[in-house]
Amino acid sequence: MRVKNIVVKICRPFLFYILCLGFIAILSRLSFAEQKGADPRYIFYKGNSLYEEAKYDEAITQYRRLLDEGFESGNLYYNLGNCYFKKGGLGKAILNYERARRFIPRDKDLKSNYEYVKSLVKNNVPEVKRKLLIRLVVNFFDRLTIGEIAALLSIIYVLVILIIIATIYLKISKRYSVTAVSILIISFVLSFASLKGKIAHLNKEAIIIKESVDAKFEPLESGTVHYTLYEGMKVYLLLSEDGWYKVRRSDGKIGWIEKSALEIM
Amino acid sequence: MSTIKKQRNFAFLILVFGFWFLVFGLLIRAPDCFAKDISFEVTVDRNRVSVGESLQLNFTFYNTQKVPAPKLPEINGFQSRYLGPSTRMSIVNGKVSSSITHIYTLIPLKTGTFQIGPVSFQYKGDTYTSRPITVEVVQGTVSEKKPTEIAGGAQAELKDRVFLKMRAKKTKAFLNETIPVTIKLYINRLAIRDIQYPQFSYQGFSVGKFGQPGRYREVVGGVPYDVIEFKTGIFGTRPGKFTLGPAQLKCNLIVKKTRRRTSSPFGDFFDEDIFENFFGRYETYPLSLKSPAIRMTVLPLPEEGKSKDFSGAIGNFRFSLEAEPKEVKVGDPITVKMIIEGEGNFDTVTCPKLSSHKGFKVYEPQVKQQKNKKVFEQILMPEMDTISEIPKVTFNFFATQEKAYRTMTEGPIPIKVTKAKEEKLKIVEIPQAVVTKPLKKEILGKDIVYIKESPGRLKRRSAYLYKNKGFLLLQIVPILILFSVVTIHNRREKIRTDVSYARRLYAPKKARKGIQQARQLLKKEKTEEFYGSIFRTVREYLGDKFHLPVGGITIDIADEVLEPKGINEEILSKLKDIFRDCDMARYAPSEFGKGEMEKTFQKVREVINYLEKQKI
Repeated sequence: MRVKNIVVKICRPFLFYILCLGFIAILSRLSFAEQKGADPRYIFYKGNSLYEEAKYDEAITQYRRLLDEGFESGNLYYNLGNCYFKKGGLGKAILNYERARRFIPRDKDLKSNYEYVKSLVKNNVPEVKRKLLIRLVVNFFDRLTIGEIAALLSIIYVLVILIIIATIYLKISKRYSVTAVSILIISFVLSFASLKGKIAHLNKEAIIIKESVDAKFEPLESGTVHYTLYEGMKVYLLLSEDGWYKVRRSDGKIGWIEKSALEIM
Repeated sequence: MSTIKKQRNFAFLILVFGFWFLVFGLLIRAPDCFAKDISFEVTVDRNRVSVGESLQLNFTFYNTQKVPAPKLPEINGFQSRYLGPSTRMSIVNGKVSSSITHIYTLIPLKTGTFQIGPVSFQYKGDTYTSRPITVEVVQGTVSEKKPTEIAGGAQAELKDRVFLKMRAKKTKAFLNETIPVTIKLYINRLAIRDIQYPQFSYQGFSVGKFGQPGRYREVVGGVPYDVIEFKTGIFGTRPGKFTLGPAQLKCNLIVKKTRRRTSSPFGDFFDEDIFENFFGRYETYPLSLKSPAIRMTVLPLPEEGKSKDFSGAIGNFRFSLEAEPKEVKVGDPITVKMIIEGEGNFDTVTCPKLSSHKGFKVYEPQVKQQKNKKVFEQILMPEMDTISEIPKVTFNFFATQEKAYRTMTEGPIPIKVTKAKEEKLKIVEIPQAVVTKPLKKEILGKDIVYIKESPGRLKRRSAYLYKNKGFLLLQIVPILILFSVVTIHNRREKIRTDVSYARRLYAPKKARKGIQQARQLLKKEKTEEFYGSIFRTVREYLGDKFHLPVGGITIDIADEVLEPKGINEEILSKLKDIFRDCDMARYAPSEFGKGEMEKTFQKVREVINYLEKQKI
């Protein structure tokens, strides 16, 4: 009886907490339905029908309108990627697929398109192989969106606190709770690191949209060419100087390229 | 004391009831066994006796215990004396059997062969007559030898007490005719163990297996024997004269070892091995018993009257025929059962023959053999709808009773055969195995997957959950909960374990209650009670606050405990005033008016408030 009472007592505030979360989620959704008189979905469907007629440029305009109005979604970026690909813009296609991957990382169509389009990139530089364990973790978190990782972190955090409270009140064996809490803390740290990494990459990754561009040793037109980047390659931005970006290629080589040659994801 | 007595009474009651149930149970069953037929038997313990020894004559009545001792007539050559009755009752699996034996001693007076009985007498209107028993009286000692001497002199004696007999139902039989053979082991008052199945030579015969041996009692020449009976059946395999047996049976005889007497009166006690007492008193002697042989004649079957279809069946049989179903379509099976019952050698019985197979498809019969019954099941399939009967079936055998061949014919059995439905023959095309030729290399088209139909979850650009202020704020809630839970828990633990802390904690609450009570009393101007209440409240408060026993708190506390703690002088003096006032009021309550009480009350409040504010 006593134990049950305590459990109820502890659970009540958490229930409240979870209800609040749900409420926020609902509110945030309702907010955009009310914001615009014209249903943003309408624009999307319009884009779709244009795509069906193979009017890719017009379709792109429709999709971009949606973006300009302040909306985004995985499917929107996916369709945009398709449009650009059909048009022949490999770089922009990859760019949009990469963007879509942030929202719908587990989508099979996206995965297949992304891989196919990537295979068309000329002279693709292989990525540096990481250690198995790190690769496993990275692959796992690659399948989650930033929002999902944030929610996961919150859940782990609540679980840790619940276990601590349960240990205090229910006199659970310390060994079990210590094991559970340490596992949770490890996963928390990993999730947090990956969240941090994802956020850090958010505006630091870019795709080459020009057919080819030379990366130079210095941000000057006359600089010595270090290597050449082709359309669709992904680079990591390190520094920005007027008209030039210092970028790192996936194999770690660094060089300066013109700003116009790439588009930030 | 009384409970023990009660328990004893209860146990006694149970005992009494139990006893009554037992007695009633027996009584209720008792008439049952009296109602049975009374059987009667006269036995002697041996047939040969020497002059001067005694002979025991037993009259045993089964299924009763009420028969009085019959009066023995004068027996020639013997002097008789009634020894008394011996009753026996046994319950085996709820079956009650009872008997009474009247025992007489006969003392032979002269040598010779004498006949005892027949003795007849009447009981309840029934006349019982015993069979005559022949007893031989000889000179000298033919008395029972000690068992240890069996191997020496008393072979003859042993032969009378355990022997083997073999009997064939008939000594003349036809070829293949079954002859039942019985081998009986007779035992008279001996312990025989490890009885093996008998063996006998059976040249010219085929022998079946022995069944489960039977056990019963048999009186032979007035001497009762336990009989073990083995039964089997044999049949001659070729004609001629043969000797069956002798049958041999191996068993062990258990005899009591005689004790060797020692001269020392103590020796009897001390020399004896304790184990010998338990185990060594009995000894086992292997016995090999032999029965007389039997001469047998096996006759050949007569040629006269022998049928062409005779296939060797011998015995006395009955033959019947059944067919099922009697209405069929062309091509449907009919089961024909040929049943042969009776006695004889079923091994020689073969399937009876259908007189004609015409129009039928015939399958091999199935044979089911039981005891005294052999069934042949033959499946027939009519091939035409013109067939109207199952043809007659003939069974030939040699009847041993009549010593002649016999032919038994059954049928024909009428049946109805209808045309089978014209069924179109379905030609099932067996599809040729679809062989998918593997393409050398499948070249798959490559392109992107088509666009998405729905926009999915549209949301504000760069509206990330981790940036959501509500979400981030909510993260504080669990940690706050944790803190409050831990604090509450720690406080509870402290209250539970630290008494002084708990007392201090609850001191102001208690004091407040006391003050309220005092205020009530003040309003009612109950001087005595008021001061009592004030005194109690102050004492309890101080006791709880400084973790002291309440009873030991007096005015001295101000100097002893409070002063070293740096309490204000003014407060100390007020506290002292309170104590003093309380003391005074107790002896002279009338001197304290409302004003005085008010003052004291204020002082108490001030003191307690002051102490509460102070960190002590």
